[in-house]
Amino acid sequence: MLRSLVNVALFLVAFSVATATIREATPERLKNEWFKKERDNFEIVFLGSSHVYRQLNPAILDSTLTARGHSLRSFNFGVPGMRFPEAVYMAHRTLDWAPKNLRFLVLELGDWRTDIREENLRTERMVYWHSLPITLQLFSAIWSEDLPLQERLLRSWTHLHHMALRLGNVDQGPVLWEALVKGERESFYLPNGTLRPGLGLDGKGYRPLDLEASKTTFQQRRQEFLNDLRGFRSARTELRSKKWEGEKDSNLAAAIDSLRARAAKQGVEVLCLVLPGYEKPEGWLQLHLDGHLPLFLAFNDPDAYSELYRAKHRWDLFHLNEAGANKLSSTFANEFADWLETRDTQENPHVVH
Amino acid sequence: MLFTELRFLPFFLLVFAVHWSLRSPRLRKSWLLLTSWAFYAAWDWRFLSLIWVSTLVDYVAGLKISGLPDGLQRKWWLRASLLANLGILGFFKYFNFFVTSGAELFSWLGLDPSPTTLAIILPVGISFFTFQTMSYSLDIYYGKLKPTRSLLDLALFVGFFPQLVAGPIVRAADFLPQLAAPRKWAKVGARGALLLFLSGFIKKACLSDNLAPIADAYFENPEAWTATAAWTGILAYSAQIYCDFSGYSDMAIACAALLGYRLCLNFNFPYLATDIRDFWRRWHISLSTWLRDYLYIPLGGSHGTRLFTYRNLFLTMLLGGLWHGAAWTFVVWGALHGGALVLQREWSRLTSPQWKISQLVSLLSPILTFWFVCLCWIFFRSSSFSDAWMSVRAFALFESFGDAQFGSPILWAFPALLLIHILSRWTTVDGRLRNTPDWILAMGLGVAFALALAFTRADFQPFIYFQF
Repeated sequence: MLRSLVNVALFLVAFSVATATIREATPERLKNEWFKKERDNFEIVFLGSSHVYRQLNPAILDSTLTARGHSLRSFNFGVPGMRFPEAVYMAHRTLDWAPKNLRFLVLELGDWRTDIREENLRTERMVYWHSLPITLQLFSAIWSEDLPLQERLLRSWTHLHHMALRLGNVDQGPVLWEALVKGERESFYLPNGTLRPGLGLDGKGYRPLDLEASKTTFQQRRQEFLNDLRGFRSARTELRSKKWEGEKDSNLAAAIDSLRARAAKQGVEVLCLVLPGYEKPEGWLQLHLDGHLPLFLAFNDPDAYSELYRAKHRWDLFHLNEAGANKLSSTFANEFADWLETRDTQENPHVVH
Repeated sequence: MLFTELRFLPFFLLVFAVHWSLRSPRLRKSWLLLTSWAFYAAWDWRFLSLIWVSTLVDYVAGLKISGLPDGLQRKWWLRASLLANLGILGFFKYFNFFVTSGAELFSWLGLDPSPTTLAIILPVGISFFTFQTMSYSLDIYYGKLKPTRSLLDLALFVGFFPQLVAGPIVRAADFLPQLAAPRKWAKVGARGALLLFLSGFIKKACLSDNLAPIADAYFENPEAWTATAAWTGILAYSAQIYCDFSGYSDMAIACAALLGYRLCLNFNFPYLATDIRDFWRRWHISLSTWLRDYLYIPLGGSHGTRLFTYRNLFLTMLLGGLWHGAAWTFVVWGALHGGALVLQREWSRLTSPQWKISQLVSLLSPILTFWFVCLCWIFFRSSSFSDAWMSVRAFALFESFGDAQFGSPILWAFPALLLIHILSRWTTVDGRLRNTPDWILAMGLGVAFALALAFTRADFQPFIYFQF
């Protein structure tokens, strides 16, 4: 019996060591690897979905900030489809790499959602961010939400399953194999010497939608937008009448607090922003008012930011085009500079209109 | 629930731990039966009733057949058992097939039928457990087996979870005696079982599931690909189906072994067969022997004229094809194999082994057999005859229908697979590691599982044979 137990223990030890070794040796997605290489060149990192990736231009941000006397360099770490738990995971990951000069992590705020869409189940992308701390935070949210028991169990199992797949490096073998054979997962450069699209033209991670004009999906979305400008205008009008209200989500607050606490140890501040969409989600402002977010920049106000809600600055209903992105970037940079310059003199200055 | 799924791990660990901690054999069997039913219910609990009906019918039929003297009544009880099992199988698997085929025939004759088809879900494993229960009644009828008086034993024989959904098709004569004797942990070959499970896991999760996208891409639209790509797609499917099914069988045998039960061998390096007859001695052995014992021999076997034997052989393979799926493509697959078996017999009869041509054919036979088996898989996999015909032309005549290509690294997978196949034929891992200390083996298994998991796809593919 004792011998069997020893063998089981040895099996588990060997399994754990092997999985940890495989994980260490396996390259991450290209943008992560690029950032890892360039990490010491940035003071600000933006994290979020395509709203970040397609709308925040580090070149404009940096030049505006420099003009205001703040020598800060930014990196757009946005990835299409990144929801808030993934953004928080990526924020932790960014801190794991200990970038020497990093001062600000700017996250696109989102709800702490515990469901996973059917089409995303067990995809490499979903598995990727299910680390133990994030999964535990999701569990805590699931068991504090008002859900039927069956749904709670199902969601808990789904996240546990994803975490186990991540622990087992499921699907990572081919990536590791390629890295071992080729020396690296994928070159950062295309055969013509330019950087791969996801890394941005200047290696700062931003890529405007105008550069995707030849791709059917993006062209289709643009066409749909142009064909339904009335829909866009009515969404904008509807947004004007919406109010920031509702109580904060304590799970979302806890996730932000824990990230802030960890970041603070590395001298990094966590900020959140809301990009020019059509919602004023419940409880988000309260997060700021209750002190979970020292800076909460919300650009979803068609009156205060009318330029961002003009059809000529939009690619589609949910994204700005390059001209709009440049406007947003300079607006953000100016408001951010305002905050930097007044943060010590004003108490809790929230920049929400 | 799949053996390669994460949830199977806690399920099996629980079954294993409780099973060996129980002292009473009766309790152990009850535990295994309950968990087997739970395993099946994880797919769809409603169809558990089919297993219960099949078990009950055969329990009663078995006792009646055994208790009655030779005569009409005995035959009626056998018929009742066959009718119940074939009725379940026929309704759930073949109802729509026969209705639509009949309607097509009537349309061809110029009549205008308006057939009614039903939205029937095919219960997982139905072809396997009905064949198992039928063999039980048939064996009793032919006097090869005494019926069990224990309903628990019979229910466990039918429902034992490692083999419930995709075989091997276990014979009552092999399994019931194992249930009669208490299982002992000391007799469990845990090392061999764990290695077999690992081998099955690698075949299914690392090889088959990774080959599936190639085969799927090809068979979805065969007209888009070049002849080289067609070869790639067809060879990928040949490798996929072998790794999938034999991988499942390995894991099933290993799980049963860890619980103290022995299941029969189902695959024995079929792609190394020297001829088509040899192939059927190595591929899905539990089905081919079932068809031999309960179809071919009752039809008359080889006891008759040559034509009579060929008819039996051909008919057996035809029905074997239909067993795999309710579609004419499966029937053609069976007919091709049946035809090949007949041709082989005829060739052996008409030629002498001393002839040069016979020696040349013998020499080329393993390659020709493999090529022919792959050619037949086209019908097994294609969704229509027009698609199948296109693939046959690409595979046999090297015709290209489109210009799509697969990446060249994929082609390297096949020689690698063949090499593994040949090497493992000559030396089994278990045999090689017989003298390795347990602690080294335990650590080796840990590393091997970690590596295997890394090459597993996150979106688990169901076993191909689940649909049969």
